[in-house]
Amino acid sequence: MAYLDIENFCKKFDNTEVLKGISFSIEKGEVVSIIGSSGSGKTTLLRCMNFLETPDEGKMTLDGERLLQCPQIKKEKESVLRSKRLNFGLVFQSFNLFPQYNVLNNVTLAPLLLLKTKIKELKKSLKEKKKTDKTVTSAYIKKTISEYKEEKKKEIDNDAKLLLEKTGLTDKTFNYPCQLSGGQQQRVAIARALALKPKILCFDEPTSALDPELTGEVLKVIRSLKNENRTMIIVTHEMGFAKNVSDKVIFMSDGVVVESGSPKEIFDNPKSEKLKSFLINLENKENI
Amino acid sequence: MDFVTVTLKLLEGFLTTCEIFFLTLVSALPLGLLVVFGSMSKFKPLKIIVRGIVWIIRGTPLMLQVIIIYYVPGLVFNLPLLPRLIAVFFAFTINYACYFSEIYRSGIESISKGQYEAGQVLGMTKGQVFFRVIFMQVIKIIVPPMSNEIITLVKDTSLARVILVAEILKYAEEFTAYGLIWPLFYSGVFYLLFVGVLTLIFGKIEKKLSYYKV
Amino acid sequence: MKKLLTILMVAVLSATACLSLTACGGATEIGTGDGKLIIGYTVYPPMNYTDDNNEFVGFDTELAKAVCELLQVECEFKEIEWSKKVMALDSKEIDVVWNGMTITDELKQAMSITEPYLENKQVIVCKAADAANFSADAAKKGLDKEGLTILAEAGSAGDSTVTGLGLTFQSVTAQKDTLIEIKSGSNKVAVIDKLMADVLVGEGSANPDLTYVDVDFPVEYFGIGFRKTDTATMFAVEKAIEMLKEDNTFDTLLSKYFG
Repeated sequence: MAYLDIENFCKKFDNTEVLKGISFSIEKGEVVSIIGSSGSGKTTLLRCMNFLETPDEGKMTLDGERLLQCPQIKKEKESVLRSKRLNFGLVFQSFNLFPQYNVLNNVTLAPLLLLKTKIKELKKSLKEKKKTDKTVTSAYIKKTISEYKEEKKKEIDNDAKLLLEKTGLTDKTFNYPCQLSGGQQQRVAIARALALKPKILCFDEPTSALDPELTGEVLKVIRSLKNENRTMIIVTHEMGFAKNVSDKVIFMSDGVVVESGSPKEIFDNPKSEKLKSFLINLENKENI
Repeated sequence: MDFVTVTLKLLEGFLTTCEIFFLTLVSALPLGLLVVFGSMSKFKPLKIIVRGIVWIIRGTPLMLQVIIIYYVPGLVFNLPLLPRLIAVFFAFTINYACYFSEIYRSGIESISKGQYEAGQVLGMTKGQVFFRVIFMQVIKIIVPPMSNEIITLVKDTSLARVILVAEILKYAEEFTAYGLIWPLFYSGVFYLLFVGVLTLIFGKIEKKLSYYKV
Repeated sequence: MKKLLTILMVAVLSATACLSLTACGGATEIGTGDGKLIIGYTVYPPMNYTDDNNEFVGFDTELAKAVCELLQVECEFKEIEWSKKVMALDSKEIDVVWNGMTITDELKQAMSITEPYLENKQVIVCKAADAANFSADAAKKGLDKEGLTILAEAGSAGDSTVTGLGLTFQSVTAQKDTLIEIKSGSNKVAVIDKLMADVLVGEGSANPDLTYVDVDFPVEYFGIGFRKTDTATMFAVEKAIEMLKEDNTFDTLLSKYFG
């Protein structure tokens, strides 16, 4: 069985069918690019995987765990969805950094909030234990928790700084998003998504909102992540990048997967008419 | 009557003015947040009811609301009346909570959907998304319209005199009734000073929030 | 020399005539001298009000019109806020306060006031059910009660009556504002003009649930107020009223409005 398995995703908005039965699978460590013209359903697919939209039909399995099963998913509690979401990271086209926090806090905010929840649970379980075990005193609980908190906080802080180093933003640690260029902001967004250690990192057209001269630095970071064997799904318009970096390319059109295969198969030997005309159109555009 | 006597009398009224102002502000700010949760609720009946109330409160003069809250229990239902200052407090709090809620709403609605989604995909709860991500941005957006509204509140406190609450303008008008005109204009100085201090404070807040852009 | 003296005497004589009498080239020294007399009033039945036929009438309204006719000036009525009457005069927004104004020492300091032209009294207004608590002879005792606050218009005759007796007092901006206070139970009792109470409370009025008690408060007098410096107009108006009293116009008005 594959690492990620998506079966028959369908999604309708009002009366428009955006996804018409999408199925594909990904192996661990693979980088998959999803290409296709706008309106083909790429972004919706990504949003469904991240539980920002709920598909009308379909199944999703990750690492042997059934994450999504229609129609039960519609009845799931918000807290369950939240923990499921954490399997994925998502980098948006428009960065969506939190403007009131500096770069470091943008990266650490979510891990710290998760830590808070964890500490609450820990406290609860220790208090349960106190009822039966006399060696567990109030002072002991307090000490254990504060030690745990300190340790984890330090860990989160160190992780964040490492991630910023990796994305080349160490000198921007205490800057605010409004002081950064688009490329820098997107790199912060990548660091922020990685801070939660997702199993799969998704990119929704990560360079579309950037000036051409800034796309390079973002693509470079993504390439470096490939070298770490991260599993990634990238919705992109950068064909050259898709060709070079992906292990697998999926071509979508009108809500269906028209062709998928290695970059070589897709770009050098397209079979379907739709893919052929898509590639020719792109080429023409580049030549203008 | 000499300057000192008049000043002392006006100061006595100004104390009541300040009391109305601060009590209203402290209770209308959080109440407005409750109102905006209602008026933006996904639960339709609640949304309709709350928006209806906001419409009524914003659509009628505050002076009328003060009179209604104070006199109607006695006039129509023959009930004992609230103390005057309490009636003013209720009327002002409800009125300003509705105005504040609309400012909050405009602020909340101006935050892009992407901010909510960014919080969501990072595993935050709805409460965390609102209070950790959205709220601070809303505050920055609404500081200018809020300071405007709060300055209006300073001057609206003078409406309390329609139910004979002895705030500064009521004292000033009494002087006029006895033939002494200048205290009426002099009372304006108190308002000016008060609003001046508020303007400085809001300027400080705006400056403090200028380190980021929404 | 003789000639010059004659001319001078004629000039002085005609000037005096001008001051004391009325028909002098459009009465230039009435009010601001623009041939208009602006009369400040508040709606105060039966002195100044709009009747069922939508006509602006009242004792003071008609009296003022008659006076202006005698003085050969245009008569213009302007509604004012009673508490700001002195300001309205001084700022020349109006030339006269003619609105059932009770003469008080304070007002005399702020404006020039005519000799009294009408008498008034203060009465106690309360809920009909409360009237027994304020019987005429025991009035002061009734008003003296612990915790009882008495309403009156700031600066009005009621105000001076209440404060003069050393009673607990709450001021309102207009006499009519006392009615909602008493009807709602916010306050039990107010002191207002008898002339007004006659019209506004009791059976047959808009407020049958209220009544008034005529107590032994001192009688006061109504006067007409002018700018402190404008004694010329004041004397002219006084003279005109005298003439109206002589030709019975005044009495006709009295019986028309006060029976």
